[in-house]
Amino acid sequence: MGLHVSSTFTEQRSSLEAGKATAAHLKNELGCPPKIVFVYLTVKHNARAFLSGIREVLGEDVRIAGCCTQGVMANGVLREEGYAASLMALGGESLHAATARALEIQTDTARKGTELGRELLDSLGGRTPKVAIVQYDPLSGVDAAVLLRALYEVLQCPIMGGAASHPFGVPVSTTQQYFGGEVTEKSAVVSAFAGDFTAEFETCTGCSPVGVEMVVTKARDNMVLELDGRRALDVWRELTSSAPDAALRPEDTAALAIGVKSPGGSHMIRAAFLLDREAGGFVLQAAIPTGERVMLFHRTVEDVLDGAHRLGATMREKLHGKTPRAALGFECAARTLPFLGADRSLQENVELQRDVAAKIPWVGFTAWGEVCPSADGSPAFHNYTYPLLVLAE
Amino acid sequence: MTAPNLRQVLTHAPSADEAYEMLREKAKLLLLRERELFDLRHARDRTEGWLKAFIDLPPQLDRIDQRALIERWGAIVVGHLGFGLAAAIELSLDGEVRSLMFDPGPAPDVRRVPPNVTSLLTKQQTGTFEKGEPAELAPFATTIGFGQFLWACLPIGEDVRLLVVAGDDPDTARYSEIRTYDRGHFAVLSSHLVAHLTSEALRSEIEDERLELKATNQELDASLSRLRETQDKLVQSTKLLVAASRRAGMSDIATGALHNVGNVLNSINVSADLATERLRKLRLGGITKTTALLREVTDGDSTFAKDTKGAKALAYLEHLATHLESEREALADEMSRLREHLTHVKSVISKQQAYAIGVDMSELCGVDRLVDDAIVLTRESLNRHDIRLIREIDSLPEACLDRHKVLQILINLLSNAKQAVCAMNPPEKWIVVRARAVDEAHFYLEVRDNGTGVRAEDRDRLFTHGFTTKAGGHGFGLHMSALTARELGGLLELIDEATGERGAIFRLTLPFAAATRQGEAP
Repeated sequence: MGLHVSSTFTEQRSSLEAGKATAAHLKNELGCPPKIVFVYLTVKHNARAFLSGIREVLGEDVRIAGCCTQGVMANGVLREEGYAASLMALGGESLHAATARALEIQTDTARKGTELGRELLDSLGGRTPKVAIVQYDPLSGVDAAVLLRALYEVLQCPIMGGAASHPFGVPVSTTQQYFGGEVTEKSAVVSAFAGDFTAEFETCTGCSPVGVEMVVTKARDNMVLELDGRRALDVWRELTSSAPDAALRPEDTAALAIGVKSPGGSHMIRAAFLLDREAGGFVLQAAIPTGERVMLFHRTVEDVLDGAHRLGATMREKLHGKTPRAALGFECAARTLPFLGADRSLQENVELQRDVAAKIPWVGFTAWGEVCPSADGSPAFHNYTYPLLVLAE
Repeated sequence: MTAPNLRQVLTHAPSADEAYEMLREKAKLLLLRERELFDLRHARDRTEGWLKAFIDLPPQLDRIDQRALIERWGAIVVGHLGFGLAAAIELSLDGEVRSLMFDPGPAPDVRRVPPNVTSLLTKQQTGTFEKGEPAELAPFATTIGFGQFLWACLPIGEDVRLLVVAGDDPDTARYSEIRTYDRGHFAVLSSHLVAHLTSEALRSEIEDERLELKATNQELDASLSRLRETQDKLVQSTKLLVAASRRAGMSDIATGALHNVGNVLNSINVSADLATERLRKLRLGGITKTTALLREVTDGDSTFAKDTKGAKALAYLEHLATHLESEREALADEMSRLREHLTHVKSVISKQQAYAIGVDMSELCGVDRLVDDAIVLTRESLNRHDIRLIREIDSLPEACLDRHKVLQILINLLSNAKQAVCAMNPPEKWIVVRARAVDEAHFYLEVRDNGTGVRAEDRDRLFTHGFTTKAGGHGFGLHMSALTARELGGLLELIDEATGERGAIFRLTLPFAAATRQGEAP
């Protein structure tokens, strides 16, 4: 076995002590020095203290990548409240890992994406990466599609991951990304892996088309300003039955699921991320250009759960003949606590873990925007989606 | 799945636009329902969370200390309800912080809450601090490290309040929002906590009192056991004392009896001696000489010799003389044996007297109490005869003596005094009991009366055995009292004072320390 993996979960409330304890656990279980540690923390944690605890145990040079999140996933766990931390360490002779970070990704996005890719390739010593994982700040205003495209052009490998998040239902604030011992905002942290293993990925949405189609008649960057010639916000209010002068609640942004046709013919689902009353539009994480037709989607619990079951079955088929070693999930935060509720979200994940491969180390977070490859291999930005990555030998 | 554009499909509808409009309305309804579901679900989940907290808060164990209960509350608030911080601060009414609990810790160093804050917290009892309001709480919020919080300040004792706080620090406060229903639920949960603390305090108090009672009961049981043991010992001691007293009494009686027997024996001895002497002096020789003379005279040719009766009379006299001589010898022998037996008896009595050792019942006692005890025992009798008892007791140190024996003497003296006074029957009848120190080692008890007094001729034999002036008296009282006084190392005497009054003064002088041998009176 060339790929070593260990994972852990804790609800310990003292951030520094939790960092030390989890790092110690990873170290003991891994059996070799970690090449990278993924860290996902709920926002209650003092991230700097937590990372400090990890580095105290694993060393100052340990690669750390991660972000804050609305909720974390681990074996048998999906926790979206209070103090929660999910970590995974990867190591072993058959794994080569690299991590890089870009700051202020909302500006000069393409160039920074390219630089990220090059830095990663350099760190891998020219090895071809098998998969890359990205965590970024969705509140930076970045057009995720631009970032991902630039990154892909360099790495030429499947890119998965998600946008950092924070608790749902409060005014959007800031999110943090972790890189080594540093905690930053408006950044993107990308990890790339090469070696003797395979990376299998699959995704599901759980959204169904309503049948109502509109045309984006005006857009600016990743803000949709008009739909069918009307102010986008007005259309949004109408569709969500909000009164014209009603306060815009943060949770209302997830009310509208907009499907954009992907090159493969299916729809990529986008959700309004921010509602801009002044501009009269809504912000998406990936731009929909003017003239694009969009379809209104809605979610049902049955669709979401069925989709997760199909995801599990499909992944199992892909893993046939291979030995799964690690699973990383990046479920949309609008699916879980706000939609399915805590119990059903847990049920969904527990069943998925069972369907894919029970008892392999599992880590993940609930994201505000998910990244997974589309049919042609290029990374696509999604909402209301559950991308799943499994590393296997 | 590729979604059709229904505008194009619904060509057979009465109106494609109408159909499309219907679809839009349905889509709106779907989205509305989705939002309503979200709102309901969120509220339901949140309420369920509070309800679970309410149910989980009470301790499973019968007894849990207050600190643990508060920590449990903190763990529920932070661990399950999703707050970032929880704090419980025990406050006195003047703002002094008595104890702190912070989850997660450590607790900040807060010793005192400002008066205006304490006042607000105490009056309002529950509230919220968010977005810097109310302003009075802002500095306090900074001190305790909270950016926003729900709070409740409820009484848990007479002058003690518990301030419970749940919220987030300034960094994470932006990630949470205090909902309206959270306020109500928090207030209920806080009341629930305080109710448990109060009942726990009461329960602790009751338990403490129960333990105290149990300890007291155990002490009482132990005391009772000791009492029983002591009682048993006392009974044993009493039995021993009774036995000893009995033996002492018997010894006293035996001693008295032996003494009296000895006295009588002396009298018998004297009588035996007298009888032996008289026997020895019996003039039987005269008879023998007379009969010898008669024989000489009547031998030959005398008329007396020729008379038969005369000859027989002479022969009888000669036999009588011989017989009497022989009888005298026999009686002398008998007297001699009698004296030997008496000597033996005396020897036996002497030996018994030596064996009849009285039990030493000396004890330390107050002389005044001794006198008072004697007075108590005789007061009724004195009162019946209108005899005034005058008590003149000096302050004396305690004496180590046989209390019972001294009492016997005093009672005897008081009894005699009473009889003398009654016999005299003066207009005012009185008896004085006096106790005074003689020197450092001795004191005396004196009974003085205005009775008949003692005749001069009786003084020398006043304490002898059998002497009495009372009709029907046996004459043992003063004699035994004098003997007892001697046993105690003291002296009983009649004091001869030229007072010009009738009456008598009897004085018992005794040592303060118990006597080691008789006859130690000064």
